[in-house]
Amino acid sequence: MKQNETLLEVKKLGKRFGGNWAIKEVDITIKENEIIGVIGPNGAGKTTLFNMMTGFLNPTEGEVFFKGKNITKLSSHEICKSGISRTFQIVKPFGGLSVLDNVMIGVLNKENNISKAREKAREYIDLVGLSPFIDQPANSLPLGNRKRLEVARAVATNPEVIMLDEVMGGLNDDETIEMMEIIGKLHKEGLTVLLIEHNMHALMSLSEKVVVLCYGEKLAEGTAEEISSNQKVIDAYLGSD
Amino acid sequence: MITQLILGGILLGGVYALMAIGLTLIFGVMRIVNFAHGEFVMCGMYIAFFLYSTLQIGPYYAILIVTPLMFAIGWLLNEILIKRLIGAEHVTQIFVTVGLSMMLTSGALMIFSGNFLRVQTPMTTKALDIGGGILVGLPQLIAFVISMIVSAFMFVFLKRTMIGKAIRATTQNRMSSTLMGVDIKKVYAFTFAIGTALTGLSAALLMPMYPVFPTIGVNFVLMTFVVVVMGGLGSIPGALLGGLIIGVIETISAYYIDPGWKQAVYFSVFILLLVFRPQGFFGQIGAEEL
Amino acid sequence: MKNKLLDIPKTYYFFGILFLLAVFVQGDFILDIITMTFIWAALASAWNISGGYAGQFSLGHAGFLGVGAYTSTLLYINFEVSPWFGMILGGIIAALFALLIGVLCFRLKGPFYTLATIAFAELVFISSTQLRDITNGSMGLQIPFETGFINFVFEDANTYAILSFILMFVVFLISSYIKNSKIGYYLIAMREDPDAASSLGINIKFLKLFATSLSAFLTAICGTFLVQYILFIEPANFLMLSISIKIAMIAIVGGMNLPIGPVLGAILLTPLELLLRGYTSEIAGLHLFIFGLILLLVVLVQPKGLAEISWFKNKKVLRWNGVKQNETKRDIA
Repeated sequence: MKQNETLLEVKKLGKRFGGNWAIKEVDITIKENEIIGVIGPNGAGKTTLFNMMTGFLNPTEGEVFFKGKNITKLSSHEICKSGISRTFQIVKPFGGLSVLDNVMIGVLNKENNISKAREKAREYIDLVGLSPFIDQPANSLPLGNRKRLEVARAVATNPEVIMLDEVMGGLNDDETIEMMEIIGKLHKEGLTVLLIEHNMHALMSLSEKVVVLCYGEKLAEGTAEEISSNQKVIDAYLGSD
Repeated sequence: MITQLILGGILLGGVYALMAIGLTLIFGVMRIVNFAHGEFVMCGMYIAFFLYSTLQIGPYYAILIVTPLMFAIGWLLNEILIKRLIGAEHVTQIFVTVGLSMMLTSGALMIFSGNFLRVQTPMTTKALDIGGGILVGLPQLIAFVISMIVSAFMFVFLKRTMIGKAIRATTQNRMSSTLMGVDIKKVYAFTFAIGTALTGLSAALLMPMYPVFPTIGVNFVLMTFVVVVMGGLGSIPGALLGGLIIGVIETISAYYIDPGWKQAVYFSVFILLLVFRPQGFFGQIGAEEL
Repeated sequence: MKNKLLDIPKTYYFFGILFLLAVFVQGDFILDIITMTFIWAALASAWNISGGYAGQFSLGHAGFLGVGAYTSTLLYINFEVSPWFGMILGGIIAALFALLIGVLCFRLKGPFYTLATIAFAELVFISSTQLRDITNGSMGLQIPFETGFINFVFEDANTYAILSFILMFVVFLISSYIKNSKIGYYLIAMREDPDAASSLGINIKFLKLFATSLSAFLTAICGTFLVQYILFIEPANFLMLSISIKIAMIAIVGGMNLPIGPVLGAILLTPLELLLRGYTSEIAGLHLFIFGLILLLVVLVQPKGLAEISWFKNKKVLRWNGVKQNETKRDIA
């Protein structure tokens, strides 16, 4: 069985904008090869949390540890180098470049040789099912494929942890199922996955553990069943989904 | 002595403020950095000179002709050229106006040759003694007064009129203002035309004080940018305050430091501003965002 | 390296022809055009590493040109240091200067970065005119005509042409190598989307500093070549804003996305300028007017430059399409 060592630790993380605490005193422990879902109503602070963990935002207080090392103050590219990659809620493809080149740039994180990087990139593109579009410019792809490209590119950096920010947002039912399969595959390959998702069904069926944020604070934590029967959570969502 | 210098600087700064108001408006609304702004002033000065030398129209009367004329020229220029820069790549936005400034400078050289041309009326050499032995040049005083009136007018205009509000809304959020029914194309055209008109006005005010020559634009454009960045991009009160401060810095440094280094002073100020406080005094938009 | 040689035969034939021109053409006037064209080609290629590849549109490169030229000249005149060594030192100083600018102006975007570079270059210009004890101010410095390889002064015009060719070719190779390397791809990523790029492990700060320092280093070296050719330096010839504009313009008109672009730009524009200046000298300023117009039109209509036009394109050489800054904004406006 898997080691289940603690990989990523968020300790009392907080972020204040002016007088408003977007995130306050959040603790999360993530073990190796876990899939953790983060849910919460709009404005709960989920993306802010992700941004603080990946070097895109400086926390006002608290710390983040990765494999025992304090990564709180690291810049975004250093975080990637450490082994944590992420996707963006609003996808950011390198529009003028082909799908292949986009993913290849991800591979270049660990591979210096261009031709080898290109070859490796094909594998990741295959993983997300984008091989038919491999030479097309990224800005010609519809949203569903752009989301897949975003995932492929992030995974191509060969991380230990991947953080997916609403990667199913805007996808139809079929596309959602395909994305769930992709995430399942990633998990099987040994990746640790953090997932922000509004799609309750998808998140609940994928996640081993679910963290609920509300107004910037951790409201509850537990398995999918525990969370869906948690009264506080239900109240916070007021019957959504 | 220092009072004299400060006073002189403030008076000069009024005109700088006027130039800067035009530039900061254009930037705030259209997010375009107009590298040819100094050459617009140059054009206004040549027009004022022409009106005086051929039609004997004194520069202060010329204001009534130059300002509307520059307004029209600005509107036209926007139609032909500037509106294509909105949302264009940086390289286009920068180098179209750079090319334009080259054309204007060399055009002036071709038409007027490199001579320094001045407007000298009996008024231009008059100076008033306002007590305490402090002398104030009459053209400087007039320029300052008119600049202040127009600046105040611009401020009220932006606050109270519909067009003014449309302009301010666009500065803050283009997308939302279009959703609110603002005709953005008209706002762009109007803003650019006003900005250009203000350069014309500044030019007419400057003519009694400075000579015009084809490369004078370079001096103006950089200095105006310093004022705009200092005041904060898109802020009229900032442009005003920045203009006055730069005017004072210029007169003081021209006196105490070798005039050759004078420009180095405000270039240094500029760099310091861009590095340490790019939003200036009142800026809503940082020099980091576009 | 071998792969790339087989991949782009056309380009090497092209340079072969240019080399032969430098060796065999006779006649001072035409050799002058050839030599100056090569030097401007090198300058524009060097600028392009910072401007085209990294998106840092500098209008202050004349500052680096002047730093290089003054460093080697002052060392040679005052301390008899060979300009070959002075050149390297000048390059290093320019690179350090670029690092300083880069660190200070790292967050500035687009036109504001450009304005900052103008301010820096103007400071260098003013310093060179004011520090008369060192630089002799506007009067300039003359390099004595004592020929010899160590002195970097030559009797034969063809020698200068060949040396300039080598300069141009070396800068081209450097530019080409970068473009097709990991750094080249990282630079593209940085231009397309800096946030996405950094999430993939790309160190934006390092990239920008690297590109601008290298660009400055090479520009300064060109400065030494230029001053050793002209044998005279004064602030107006090396440090004025118009020089910076010219360097940028050659790269932009030629094409910023292809390593060959700046070379083509120089070949088109340098002889054009020299001829225009000669034939229209009665109408002062006409050549500047035409150049301003060319710049304006190219950048408006075809910002990728002339090299992108199909018969110049070499499919094996890397290229990408420039990205419109913000597509939705274009819709509104």
